[in-house]
Amino acid sequence: MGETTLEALRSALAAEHVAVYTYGVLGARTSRSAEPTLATSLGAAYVAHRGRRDVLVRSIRDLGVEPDAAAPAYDVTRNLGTPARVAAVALDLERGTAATYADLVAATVDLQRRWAIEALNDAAARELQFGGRPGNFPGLTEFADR
Amino acid sequence: MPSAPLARASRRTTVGFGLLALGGCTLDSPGSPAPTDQPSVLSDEDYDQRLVDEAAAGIAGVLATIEKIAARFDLVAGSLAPLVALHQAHLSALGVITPPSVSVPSVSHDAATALVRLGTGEGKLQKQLAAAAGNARSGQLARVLAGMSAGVQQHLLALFPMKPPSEAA
Repeated sequence: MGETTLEALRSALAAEHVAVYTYGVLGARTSRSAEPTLATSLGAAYVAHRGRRDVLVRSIRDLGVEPDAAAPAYDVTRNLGTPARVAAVALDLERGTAATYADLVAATVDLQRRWAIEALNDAAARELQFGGRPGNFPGLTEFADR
Repeated sequence: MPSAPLARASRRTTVGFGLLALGGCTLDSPGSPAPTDQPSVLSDEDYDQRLVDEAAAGIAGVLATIEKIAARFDLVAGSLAPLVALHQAHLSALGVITPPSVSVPSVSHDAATALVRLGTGEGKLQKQLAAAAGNARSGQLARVLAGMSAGVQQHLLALFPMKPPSEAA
């Protein structure tokens, strides 16, 4: 912890770059006819994360800093042969972004914090769509065993 | 980050102060504006303690309702066990050893109605926790309250997957 607002925003943006890229890959590996529910969830998640990414880019620019661009590619497991594997990767993504937004909550105030709280809740809700079970403290890794 | 400071000692001593003692958060501005019904002269610690007390009261109220429903309807008691564990974990995280006494509203004699009302109550609690997170002076307290809010939401969605009561309320 101990992040400044800028550092937390940049961390969140980095997580969203990964999420947007990875959801693109997951969507491409998922048949809309064979797995319509999963495909719909992946598509919705892609759109949501793209929107979060864009807000983070603007927020960082508002601080007078040029936001980091996305990398050309990110490492995505090649083991995506089943819908269950695709969902598992998506679940990991959501857990990761939830943790990132929890940290952003701590490092922000007012409207930015409220936005981060909403983003945390969104990620927590999406975890369930990808096979996650309800937890007591989504995003708070130090409470994972409670 | 160690979790121990969140679970020790008495209710009054731990929550605001324990979370604040974790430190670490760097707020770039003095903090959220005080609610209109709260005097702005409160210290940050007292302000956050009040948020925690209010959150604990909200949690205790819902928890008491759940226990009453579970006692009345054996068939649903099992499905409500995760909610009981959720709220007990949240109280523990806030450093609450003995939940504040609350008046529990009457529970419907119809299980379905009782569950719908419970869902509404959980939805209100989820929003209360999110709002408290937004208002907390301590970034660490805000983070914990936000995580608790997300936890309530996850359990709500799991129990009411078709129509989250928080949206219907």
